[in-house]
Amino acid sequence: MPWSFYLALKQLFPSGRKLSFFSVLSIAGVSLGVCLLIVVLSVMNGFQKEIRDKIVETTGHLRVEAGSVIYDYDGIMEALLGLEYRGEKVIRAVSPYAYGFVIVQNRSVPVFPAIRGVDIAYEAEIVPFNKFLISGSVDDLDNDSVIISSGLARKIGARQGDVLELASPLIIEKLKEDELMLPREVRVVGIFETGWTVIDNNTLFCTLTLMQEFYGLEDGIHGLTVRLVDGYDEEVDLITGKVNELLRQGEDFPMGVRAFSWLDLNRDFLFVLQLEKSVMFFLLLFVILVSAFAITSTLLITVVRKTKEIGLLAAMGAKPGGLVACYTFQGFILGVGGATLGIALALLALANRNEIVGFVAKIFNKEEALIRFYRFTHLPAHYQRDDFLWVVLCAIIISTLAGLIPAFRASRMKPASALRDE
Amino acid sequence: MVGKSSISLIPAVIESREIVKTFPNGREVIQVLDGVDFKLERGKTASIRGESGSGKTTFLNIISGLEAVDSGQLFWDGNRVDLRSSGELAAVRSSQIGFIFQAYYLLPELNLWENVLLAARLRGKPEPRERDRAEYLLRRVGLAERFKFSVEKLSGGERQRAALARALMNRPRLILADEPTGNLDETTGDSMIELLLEMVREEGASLILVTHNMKHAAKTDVSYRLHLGKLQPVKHNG
Ligand SMILES: Nc1ncnc2c1ncn2[C@@H]1O[C@H](COP(=O)(O)OP(=O)(O)OP(=O)(O)O)[C@@H](O)[C@H]1O
Ligand SMILES: [Mg+2]
Repeated sequence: MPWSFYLALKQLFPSGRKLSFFSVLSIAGVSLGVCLLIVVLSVMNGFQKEIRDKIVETTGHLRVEAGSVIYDYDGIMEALLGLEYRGEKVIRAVSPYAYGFVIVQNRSVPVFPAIRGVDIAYEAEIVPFNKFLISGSVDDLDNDSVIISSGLARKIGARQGDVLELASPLIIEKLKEDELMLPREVRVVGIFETGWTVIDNNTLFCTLTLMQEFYGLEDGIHGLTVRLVDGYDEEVDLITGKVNELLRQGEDFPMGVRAFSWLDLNRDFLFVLQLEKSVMFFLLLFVILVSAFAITSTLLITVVRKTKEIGLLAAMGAKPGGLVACYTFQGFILGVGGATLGIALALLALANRNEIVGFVAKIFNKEEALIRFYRFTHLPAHYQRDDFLWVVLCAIIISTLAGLIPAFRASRMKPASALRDE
Repeated sequence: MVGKSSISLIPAVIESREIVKTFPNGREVIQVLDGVDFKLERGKTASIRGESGSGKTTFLNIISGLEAVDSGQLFWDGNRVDLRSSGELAAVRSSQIGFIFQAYYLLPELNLWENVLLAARLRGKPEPRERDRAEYLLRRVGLAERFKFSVEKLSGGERQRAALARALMNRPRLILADEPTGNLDETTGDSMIELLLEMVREEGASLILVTHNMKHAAKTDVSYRLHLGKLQPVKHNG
């Protein structure tokens, strides 16, 4: 070991004594920053993952659409289910759907929810209805009934068993041809809530047949929802590429039929989520920056305090480069130590996160509020290797840079003056 | 008479010719050394006395290459060094010159043995042979029981003895001791000088001892007085 590293270690961890106070403080500072960053990023990942899971749970991994009504889709379904990716069948379920908007009236309040007509037998393979239903049952869904979202139910004051009037936008088309299309009466057989507000606010499910009638599609559909076999979430883009290849090759597939991954369809939203995380990372990095300032100032004090010893080292043949290395290395070690301890603390905190949240909530007597307003009973967390790498890298780089100013100060001392210094 | 250039096959450990050194002090210039000639043979000891501020420390710094000269020439072992870069000198200095200071300058974060070994470490990874030597030197200066001691638990005399061991670690040809007894009481100081001279002779090194103490100065082979920028030989009576 070069003498500069040796001396750096000794200055931080002196022989025959406990840790130096300065090392403990500096490492504590860095580790707090690292801990905070990891905890916040991991919890954000957790929420993000919940949201992403929810999106996939409610809308599937892929959508296949043609930009127009698809009439003959049995061939596509079969082809999709048979798709192989790296020698494995990766598509678990395919479900046809038709969608649009309707005018709903209950007690003369008109609203315009989105409506999705699905074949429950297929759709149940993709959407865990039972998990989302807060009342009623999908088994009761027939061609004269609907399932509505909780937000919509609240808005129009509808309950299970109520009868709603649904009017199709087709009414206008028909009117042009002097035909009259009356609103259709449907029963509410269930109310669901996914936790995914976009859907919960304003959605309505019915059978594919009802939707086809309603929109005059005959036996056509608007598209197919695709769910992948578990474990292929990360490769959804590649699989989408494969699906598109398949769709282009098939000769009797409709013109312009294409697959879109849920990542494509939610690009903007996911970008905002990612941006949020990046901003958080950037802001919390300042905690590390602050502790780096502490490192710089303490090391500077050390350099000044040790002026004579630095002079002595120079007299004994130490070169300026060695002195730079010595103090920069101290910053580096503090960074590594802080990062290691910080990760350990973060993992500990995350492992006990629910106890911690519960404890804090109890102190402030806010347990109910937590559940009511934030809609969570447990704090999600998800570890991402990249977060750890980035945080550790930043902590080490910043701490090392923090050692640089004291290092140059030490190396630029003139040995004769340093030794003379009173 | 000492100080005159004598013809010898073995080059002097250190030789200075016409060394001039000034320091700027505001608008004025302090003339510290005004043509200093000095020569020390291998294995010889010399002492330098002089009033405070006469330039003794400055002269030692110049000899060791820590400070540059304004004019004049400096030789180590017959090689001219005053024009060499400080980096070059640092490397040579670490193996050829040992230092002892009034305030010891032991590193508090190292224990005694590590302090002594540090001199070797600055030149590269210490070899087992060097570890043994550090141990031997500590024993020799009477600190056998204190290897793992923290520097801060030692008395001044013990610290200076450790500093002596460190100065001798790399088997230097020359020891520069700048008032090594300045912080010690008389008895301790006397025995320190005894030990210093004894060990310098044992190791075959040369010594330049800067001191205010006449008694100590008289013990070296040659003595000088630095006065008004010049080095004057001093004769001791007895
Ligand atoms: N870097 C410097 N800049 C300006 N003046 C200096 C510098 N170094 C030394 N001097 C001056 O040079 C003179 C000689 O200093 P030096 O330390 O060599 O004296 P000294 O003989 O060792 O004194 P003492 O016995 O007190 O140690 C002093 O007047 C001092 O103020
Ligand atoms: Mg002096």
